[in-house]
Amino acid sequence: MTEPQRRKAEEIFAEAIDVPRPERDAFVAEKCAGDPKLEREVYELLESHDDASKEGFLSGPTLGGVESLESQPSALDEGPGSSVGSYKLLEQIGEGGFGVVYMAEQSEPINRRVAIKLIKVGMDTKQVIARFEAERQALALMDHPGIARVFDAGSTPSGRPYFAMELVRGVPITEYCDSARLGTRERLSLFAGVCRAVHHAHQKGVIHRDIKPSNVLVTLHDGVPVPKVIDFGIAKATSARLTERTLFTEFRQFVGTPEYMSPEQAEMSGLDVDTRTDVYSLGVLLYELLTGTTPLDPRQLREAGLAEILRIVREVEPPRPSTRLSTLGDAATTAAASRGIDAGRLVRSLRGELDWIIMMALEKDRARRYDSASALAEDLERAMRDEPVRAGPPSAAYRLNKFVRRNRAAVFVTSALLAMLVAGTAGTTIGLVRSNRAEAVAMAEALRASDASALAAERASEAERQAAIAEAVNEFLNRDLLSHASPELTPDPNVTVRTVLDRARDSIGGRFADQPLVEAGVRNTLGSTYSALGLYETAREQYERALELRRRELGEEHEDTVATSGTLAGVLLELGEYERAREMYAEAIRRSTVLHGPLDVTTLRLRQGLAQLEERSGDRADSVTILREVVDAYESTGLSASNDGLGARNSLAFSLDRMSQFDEAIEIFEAVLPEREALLGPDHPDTLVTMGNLALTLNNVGRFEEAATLFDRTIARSRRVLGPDHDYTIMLEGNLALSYQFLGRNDDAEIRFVRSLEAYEDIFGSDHPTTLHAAHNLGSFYASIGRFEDAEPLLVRALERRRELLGEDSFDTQASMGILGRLYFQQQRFDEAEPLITDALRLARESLGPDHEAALAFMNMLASMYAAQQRYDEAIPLYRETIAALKRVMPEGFVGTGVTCFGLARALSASERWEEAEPVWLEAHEILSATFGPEHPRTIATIDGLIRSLESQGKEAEAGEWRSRLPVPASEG
Amino acid sequence: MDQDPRPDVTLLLTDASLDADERANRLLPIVYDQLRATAQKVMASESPGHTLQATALVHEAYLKLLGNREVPWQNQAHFYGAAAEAMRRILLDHARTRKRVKRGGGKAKISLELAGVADLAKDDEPEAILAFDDAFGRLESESPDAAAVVRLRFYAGLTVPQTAQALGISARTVDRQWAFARAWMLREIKRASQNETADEDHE
Repeated sequence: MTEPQRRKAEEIFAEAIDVPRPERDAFVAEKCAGDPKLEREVYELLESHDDASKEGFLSGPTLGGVESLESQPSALDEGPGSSVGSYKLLEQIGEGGFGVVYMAEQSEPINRRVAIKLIKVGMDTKQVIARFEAERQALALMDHPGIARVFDAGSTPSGRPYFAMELVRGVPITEYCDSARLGTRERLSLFAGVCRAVHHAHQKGVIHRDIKPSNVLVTLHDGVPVPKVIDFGIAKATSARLTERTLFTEFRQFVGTPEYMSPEQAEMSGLDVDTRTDVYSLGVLLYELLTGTTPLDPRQLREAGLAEILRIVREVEPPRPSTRLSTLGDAATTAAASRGIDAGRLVRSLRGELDWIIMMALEKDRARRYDSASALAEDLERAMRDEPVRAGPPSAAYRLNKFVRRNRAAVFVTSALLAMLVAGTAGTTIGLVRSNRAEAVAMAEALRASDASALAAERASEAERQAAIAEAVNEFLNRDLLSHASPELTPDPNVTVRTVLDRARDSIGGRFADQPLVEAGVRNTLGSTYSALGLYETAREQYERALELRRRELGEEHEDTVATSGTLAGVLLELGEYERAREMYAEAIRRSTVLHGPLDVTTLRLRQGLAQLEERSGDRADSVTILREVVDAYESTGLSASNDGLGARNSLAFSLDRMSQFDEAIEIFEAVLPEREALLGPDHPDTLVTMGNLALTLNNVGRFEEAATLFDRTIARSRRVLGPDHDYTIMLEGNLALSYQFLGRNDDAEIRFVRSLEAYEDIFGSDHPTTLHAAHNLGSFYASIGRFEDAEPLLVRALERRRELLGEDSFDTQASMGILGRLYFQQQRFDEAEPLITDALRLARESLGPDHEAALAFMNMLASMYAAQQRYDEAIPLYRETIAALKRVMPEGFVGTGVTCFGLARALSASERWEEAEPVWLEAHEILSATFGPEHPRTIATIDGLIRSLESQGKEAEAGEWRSRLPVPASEG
Repeated sequence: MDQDPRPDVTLLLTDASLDADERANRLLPIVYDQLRATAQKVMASESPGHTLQATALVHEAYLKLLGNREVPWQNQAHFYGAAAEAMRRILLDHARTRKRVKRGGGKAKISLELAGVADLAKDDEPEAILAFDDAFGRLESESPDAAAVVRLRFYAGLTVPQTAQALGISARTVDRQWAFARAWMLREIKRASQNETADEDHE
């Protein structure tokens, strides 16, 4: 065949395949006009073409899935006239990223018109059909005028999956509303119908997963618009689970409509979607119906890559509908016009309840969404009847909390302080471990809550003014804070939150000159957020200003003023400004007693705060006394089993632990724990706090195995309930590490110390007080097992940062100085150690008083160092001073007293002052053997020392008696 | 996924000073290596029988080499041209290896289910790929325009509109040439298969 002939054949062939079959022969014959060779060639090609279609030659993988919206049916695939199962395709009526929709005629078993959705090539047909079959029964149960039924699924001759469903002749709901120029109310009632239909499906166990305007069509029945949801069951059948390895093909299918995708669908975790996913998409649809645009900027989504799209869907908080409209400009005018009103009225019609409802449907955390589509519909109907709605204005504090939570800010703060009272003997150390300012934080939270509830109470009398304030505060925070925040979320949460907060703070300026109470509200919220981030100094400034404004506007007596004083006191406590904090608490308590009465929860909470202060500033006995009174108060009002009452008992036990009154502490914790479990459930965070506290106390009395077991159990629950990255979980792991340290399981301890440090760095950033705690703990651990080189950089850095962030008055800074001093001392770097320890001692005495435990710890440390340098003349009086103070402050038998006695006895023995040494060895032995048992190496060391001092005095008989108590023959020296 | 575009590839695609052959010569090895690496990685992690699409591979390679960088379509077309050639070679290499492996089991009958020809991991019939490639080679000399369409659509997995844009022709023309190529190649393969069977009968 010649070249021109071949070309001609190609041309005729290409035209002929478009000619209906009955006319094809005539067409070819005419075109080839007496050229039999050409005619044969064309016929062969046509025959081969039919074979190719029949055999599926080159129909499979070639298209992949890269077609998106520009997809067009190929002449080679099924098209009008083709038969698919028992359906005959008529005309194309729609298309999308998935494929094409045809109107089709069904002849068997009944004659009707249906819609056939042909899924584009590139999907695994068998899987699609299998997934559909799995849901077929549930789909069959759906019977609702608002739902288009899906009849069947199958595979076309060319191997593409198809779905046959009820034919709906309608237009997407958004288009319908705009072209009919429906007003907001009409849109709402139409939309409520959509919710009802979706709810019906949910009740039958079917989740749509792909609700969007093109799947919600409106048809007219006798002139009345009826919404109809199509494609139920199809998204599930056609969606493969998104995984890390998802190839480009699936990726493009997947991101067909990211605007409507719920945050949980955007999680790569494969978390199962539930009905609330549809609630989210309904929220998006409603947003679009009312504002003309989707919550997340479609342009931004289109331009983003996969990872960025997913991030946006998961993280970016959309502006409220009314806010979005007022920033839309021309588009708002257009949107308003298609609703038959002007832009200003449209914005006003959305502000308030409709804003709230939509934002609740769009919550990123599905637990905060409406729990069903019908609940959403009901709230809309309430709004239309001007009844109060379920969705409230997101309170400023809540919004911020949520924001902070996303960035993982502090809720519980670890304070595993020093293992330093016992620095005496190099090598072995025992720790006094503290933890957990949980109660303080919980109290601060409660105070904030009472601040809010005070606001609510007052609403009754001055509802409008208060509502206006709350609204203005919200507006400010949403617009100035959160709107700045969203696009800027960077991987370093601390920096971002801080930047955003700073910007909000700086933008307050003089803009609230006429609304001092609004400014107070804003400052109060900023203060609590700074505080949650550990930026106490800045938090203090905000609270001070809020307090000043409230004092001026509301007077000293007003409950908001009092509440602010309480919160400010809490921050001052963190900053180590105990005197001022004490004054503020005292005043707040006095006023609250007048306002609410002495037994009121608000007053009692303030008193708990004061107890916390006393405990921290060193007056443990006072702390216990106050807490006992608070517990009694709850008891006298019959509330000791209430949540607040249990909280007070938990705090009391915690303080008792700090007083080394471990038995009573354990008793109370063990009583509170089952009550909290019964009242709040075993998984409630408060329950977990009590478990963690109990574990800590067990640790403190040396029941390390039990402590470790209980920590483990608490961690397991906390991981499940709060999440593995929650800071309380991490704190528990840090405490478990301490148990392991004491058990000598150094590898287990190290893993957890390191992990908690890393986790805190991720959550809070490297400069947060909590992170510095973790660094401190890890450094101390390394120091205690002799890994000095690992310890030093951690401890140096912790000290530097604390000095800068918290100042030298802070106990944490002093603790850092002490622990670093001890490290140098352990390394025999006495010249570096001495100034650190003496400074720490001086500062602790100044800020905490001479009898504070920290001061005593530093004294003991200094004495030990003198002893190590054989400066016994300096060491011995210092030891004696320490022991005298310990006996004054601490209960009898306190382990730290025993350890200090041990140090003194050794120093005396080394100076050959045997007579003086003997009773001190005896005292050390009593305490240490009671604490650690008769066979503990340290107990045995006391016996050794005692024997030597007896022998040196020639008291052979007594020495012999003691020698017989040794489990093994005494070694020399 | 490594999203960092390799600047050299972007440059290769957009550098107007390169002539077509030069560009193709420099592009091909990079694309080939990337494609093969991706294919091997995926095949290594897949259970046998899982189908792996050439299209997906090519796009994966594109993402690897160019990330999400904006590249004008005409320049992207250079990439897909290279990718198509690379894919073709990979399929061939693979089929030849498989054929060697299968030797001894008697000569397999060429299956005409070539729809699955690019399912790399489902390669019971390397002969099918070889036969397909033969037919494609003949199509290239007989009807280069139609072959160009097959090249982009089949080997590089482009859509009809993309192919049309890349070749500067209308979508309708792509459809026609595709239909022609499909019919023509199938006939070629069938003929070749019959001849082979006939040859065997003579032996």
